Order: sequence, then C-alpha cells, then structure tokens
Amino acid sequence: MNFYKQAADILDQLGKKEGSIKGLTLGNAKVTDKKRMYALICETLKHNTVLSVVLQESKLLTLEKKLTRSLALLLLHDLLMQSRGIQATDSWPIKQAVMKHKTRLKAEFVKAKIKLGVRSDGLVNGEEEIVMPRYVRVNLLKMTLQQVIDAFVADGWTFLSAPPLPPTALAPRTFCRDEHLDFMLVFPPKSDLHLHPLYTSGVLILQDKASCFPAAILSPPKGSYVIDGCAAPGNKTSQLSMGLGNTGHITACDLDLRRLNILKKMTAKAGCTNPELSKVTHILLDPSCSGSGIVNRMDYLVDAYAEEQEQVAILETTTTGGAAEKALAEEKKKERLRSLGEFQVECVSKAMTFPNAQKISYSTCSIHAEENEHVVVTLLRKHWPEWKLVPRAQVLPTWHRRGIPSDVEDIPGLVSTDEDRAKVADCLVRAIPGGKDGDPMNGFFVACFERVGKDGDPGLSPVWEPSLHQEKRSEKRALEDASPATQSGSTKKKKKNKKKKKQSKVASATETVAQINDDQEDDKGEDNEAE
Amino acid sequence: MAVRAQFENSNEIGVFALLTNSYCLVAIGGSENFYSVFESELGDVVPIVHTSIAGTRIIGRLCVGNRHGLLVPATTTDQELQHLRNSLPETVAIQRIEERLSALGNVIACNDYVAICHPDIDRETEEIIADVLKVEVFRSTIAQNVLVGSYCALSNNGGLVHPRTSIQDQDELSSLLQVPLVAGTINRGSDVIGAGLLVNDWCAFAGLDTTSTELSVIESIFKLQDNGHSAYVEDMRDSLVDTYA
Repeated sequence: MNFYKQAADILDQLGKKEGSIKGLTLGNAKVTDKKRMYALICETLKHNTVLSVVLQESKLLTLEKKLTRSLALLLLHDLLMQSRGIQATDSWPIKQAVMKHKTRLKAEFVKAKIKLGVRSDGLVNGEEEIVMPRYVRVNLLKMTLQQVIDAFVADGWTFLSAPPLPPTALAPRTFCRDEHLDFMLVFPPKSDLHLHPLYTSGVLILQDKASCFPAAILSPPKGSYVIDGCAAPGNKTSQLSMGLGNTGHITACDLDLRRLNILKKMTAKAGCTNPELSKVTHILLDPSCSGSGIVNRMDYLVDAYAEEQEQVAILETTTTGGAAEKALAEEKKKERLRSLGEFQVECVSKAMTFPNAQKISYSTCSIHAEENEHVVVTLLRKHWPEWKLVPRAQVLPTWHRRGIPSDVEDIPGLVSTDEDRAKVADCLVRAIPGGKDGDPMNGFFVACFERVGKDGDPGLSPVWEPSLHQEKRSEKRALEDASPATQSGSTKKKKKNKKKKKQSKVASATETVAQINDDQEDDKGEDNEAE
Repeated sequence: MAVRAQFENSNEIGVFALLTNSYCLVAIGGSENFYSVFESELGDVVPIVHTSIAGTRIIGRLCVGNRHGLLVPATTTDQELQHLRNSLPETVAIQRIEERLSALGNVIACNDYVAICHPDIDRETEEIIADVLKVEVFRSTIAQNVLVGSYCALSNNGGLVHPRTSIQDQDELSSLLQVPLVAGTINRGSDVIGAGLLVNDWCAFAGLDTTSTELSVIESIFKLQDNGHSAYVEDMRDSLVDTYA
C-alpha cells in the first residue's frame, strides 16, 4: 500500500479518535517504515494550522477531486516543508495532481507564513513546543541518591549544587537535584536516558515532577495500608512503595488489563514487593481526566486536529455557517468535562467511606477547574466536616502555585468570603505547563483530604464557625451510629473478594476503579446474603 | 542614474519599451531618438532589440520578462518570435503563453526573484511564469487594482507602487517581494507607474514630464544614486569584515 495513503488512513483514524499516534504508527504491524510514518504524522499535525490555511486559500480540494483532505495535508507537508519533496514516483496521479499546483501552493505557503506570523521553524507563534527538563525519580529501594549522583559524575556528567533558573536552562550533560522533591534529579531537556543502564535496571524512573506530587503529599507513614486507585502504569505505585520502604501494604487497581500488565512489569522492575490489600489507611486517587495539562503526549495535536475535522465537516454540511453546530460541539466538550467531574467526585466519595482511611490524595493532570477546584468543592459540601483539606504546611509548602481562589465556590458553613476562598485555594497544589509564566512540567492538580478525628479540628484552621458546624457534625455522627453494621460489613466483604484475586502476586488486581466505585447498594445486597 | 525620455511625444515610455537586467526591448518608431536614449545609457552592457509584438508597438504592455526569460502573448507572430530568439542572449528563455489576459505586461509585475500577478490568471500560466522566469508567483492586487503590472515598477532593489496603496498593503507586498516599497507617482502626478517608468538594477527611464521630486524618490528607492566605487565599498565592508575577521 502506498506510504502516503496509509498515512492518510492513520490521520483519518486519529481524527475520529480511534487510537493514539504511537499506537497507530509505531505499534502498527502493517506499517513498514514505522519511524518515518511516526515522524510524518507528528510533523503534519504540528504544522496543521499553516497547512490548513494553505489548503483552504489554494482551493486545492475543490479543483482536484481525487484528493482527500488528510492526504492533501500530508503531501503539502512534504512538498512545502521537506527539502526532498514528496517521496513518490512522478507517475502517481495523486502526486501529479498536487504538483500541478506547486507554484500556487508555495505562494500560499509564503503568504500564510506572513499572515500567521510563522517563525523560521515553521511553527505558528503561540503554538511553540514547550521545552521541559527531563525529571528522573531515583528509586531509593535500589540505590541512594548519592550513589546515583556519583555514578553520573563518573560517567562524565557535571553535578550542579544549585539548580539554574529557569530549570530548562540546564547546559547539556549537567544535572542537579530538584528543589521541591528530594528523591528527584533534573536533567537537561531531551536527555535520552531510556537506554541508560541505571534506567534499565530500575534505579531510575522517568517520571514527570508533577506526577510525583500526589504520592509525596500523601506520604503514608511506614507500615501503612494504602490503596492506589487508577494505578496503571504504576509509577506512582512504586513511588508509594519506595516511600514505605517496602513495608506496609499497597493495593493497586486499574480498569484496563493491558495497562495493568504494564503496572506489574514496572513495579517488578522497581523491586516492589508489598502491593497487597488490607486495612487501608491511605488512598491515592488519580482518576481518569481530560489530560488537558499533559503537553508531551502529542494528544493536544490530535485533539486540535479532530476538532478541526469536525468543524470542516460542519461547514461542509450546513449552509448557515454552522454557528449552532459549533455551539453544540462546545457544549459536548463541556458535557465531557462535567461527566468526568462527576466520575471523579464519585471515586473520591467512595474512597471516603473506607472506615479506616485517614488520608486521601486526589490528583488530575488537567488544568480545567471543572475537574479540579469544583470537584474539591463538591466533595467538601458532601463530606465536610468528616473530611477536611490538609493545610498548606503539609502539602508541599515550598511549591509556589496553588489553587485558583475564584474557582472555589461557596460551601455552607465553610466558605463564604474571599478570604475563605484564598485559604481553601492555598491548600491545593496546581502546576501550569510551560509557557512564559508556567512551570517546566506537565499541568497538574493535587488536593489532599484528611479524616477529622474525634477531637480533631475540622476547619481549615480559622475558616469555620464552631456553632454551625458542631450541629452538622453531631447530626452526621448520629447517622453513622445508626448504620455501623452495614458499613463495616460491606468493606469486609470487599476485602475478601480482592484478597482472593491478589494473593502473593504483585498487584494482580483486576479489580477495577468501577469496583471501588461500585454502587453501595450492590455491596449491601451481597452483605445481606452473606449475613 | 534616472533619465527622462519620450516616445513620439508620449510620456508613457513603459508602454513602448521593456527593460530587464539582461536585455532591453524597444518599439519600432518613426524616429531613432527614443532608441538613442537607451543606447547611450545601456551601451554595450545589454542588447537593445527593436521589435513589434503582434504587429503592434505597445510591446511594454504585451510582454513581461526578467534576467531569466521573456513571456510573450499568444498573438505574437512566428517571425517576431524568431527575431527575438535570434537577438536575445541564449540564457534568456522565451515562451509564448496562451492566456486570456493577453496584455501580460499589465497583469504581471516581476523582478529576478518574485512575480506578482492578476488574481484571475490561469493556473497553467502561473506555472509557466514560475518555470520560465524562475520566480515565486503571488496573486495580489495593488491598491485594489487587479492590473498589478500597470500600477507598479519593480527591481531587485526596490519597488514603486500606486500612490493610494495603504501602508498595510505595502507592508504585506514588501514582505512578499522581499524588497522595500514606496508609494509614489510618475509623469507629474500620474498613478500608472508601470506605464511611465522603466527600471532595472542600475538605471531607470521615466517619462519626460516626471518632476525632479519624483525622480529623486525613484533614485532613492531603486538605489540608483551615482556614488561611484565608494558606495559599494561601504556596502561591502560589513560583510567583508564579518567574513575575514
């Protein structure tokens, strides 16, 4: 099959979100030249804005009926942005169709570049690639930080005692320690470590700084029982295990069997021996999210492309300019965020019903408030004053970027003034990816909840009115007292179920998030039978 | 240097002649005065060819060319084409074009690197322009006029455009053409620049009515001031120092 035709099919599939870039190119057995295919797809998506303008202005698609949009984009990319041009025989009719318009296309490309303010590398301003340093977590189960630093210095690298500002400015072959997390090393952007012997032996784990936050914030004491919900691919699980020093118990759950197998491989490589379920005191939850903060996965390219495809389809099918359809698409996006938010609330709510749970960390790699601040507010409305937010002093106090106060909505008895909002926002950790005033890492959000003990202070320090909330508390107590049997029963039953599947093996949990989320009714039903 | 000239009492010399960096075409006229002006300026540097196109004398409006080639309309006779082939240097490619807009000089303006043309020009013509003249081709208008060849004069150093071209259009055109542009007039206030002005990289000819102010604008935008050798040395010094220091 022709290389470009195959590439066009892949692009179409990406547009319909039927797979990921890597899955459809590198992981596709039908593709013969995988590297070239991956490069072509990535580059075409990256320059999609300019190429679409050229395509539209030159009216190529209306003049040449043989061409499909995706095929034209790919050929345009090679014609305009590759010095070797289109790599196909001159007798191929599709190539002839494009080459007939060579002059016009080149002219439109120059015009588009001027109009859109394209820089020399062909990318539109504001669409630039975000450069992030390579963060590496040292697996303290296998080696100490000093040993790793010594190994790299012996390898010819230079260790900087103070991190440079900004961290992206690290010179090649220099590295330093991270200022916030003490088990983390920072290497220059684009350092290729995936063949390094320390990585292959599991001493180094390539993990973004942002995704190390949840486990670092939860920091369960040694010997704790911990659940990692939505655990795959298992980097956070192994980080938890490292924090526990292979003591205590970790249960890792995920929905996707394929990803769960990756988790098994990763944790085995990292030398973790403890994943197993028991009396859970700490829960790490990183539920599915829109992933809008992730910049490295090229997802945003696919998203932008898919969205544009949709728009083009809308414009083609309607004569009214498609304003209504556009609004509909926007609505769909919002709807997706809303349903994700609901799912996230449900996840954490379920975790909060575990009777022995002391601390729960909730994290997303999203930058939308719908999945972050709003979820936290909803949870506090439901579960405060049984659960409260852990104050900033215990949640990466040195990290500068916190939650956004204006997105914190009112919570009866807890938040009503701007001052309260600021206090709640201060307990939350956020990271904004790249850009001028962003952080050199993926976008991220972490909140940490703590169970309020019998005599504990349920407020976020001074933000609460004792009278109102005493009442609320006693009310809740009363409710709890009324149904203790069902609750403990249900959890016991659940644990039994899980234990059967998970004996001895490392995190063999095919238990799903859904199970964590299982309707309580179900459990109760089973309990009744058991009793 | 910019000089004034007249063709049989007409100031529109751009209609009756075509000037490029490697050749010059002039119409066959009653008197040799017009021819002499070109002869004295261009002398032995480039060939000056007497010709007609399709039997007419308005050769400057009917054909277009640069250092690399010459495009003539489909109405050009075989004899004329043969005469041109015999007279022009071998490096200059000559091509007859089947184009509905047959006054090529009015619909195309070019220098040795870039051409701008009428928005409705045929796609095939566009390809031929690019191939024969070895230029990038852009469809464009000048001050909302589609006859881009009539309303501007271009060289590799600069360009003079219709006086009512907006600053924004000038900026856009100049970034397309990669040369500085200025809006101005010729022949004491005429806006048909292409008809009043012939220009290449080292000299210019303007209609006899052109004022000194207009001439000085032309000399400065096309960089025609006669500064002798010192100007070139100044120009080159920076790059020489860069290369050898």
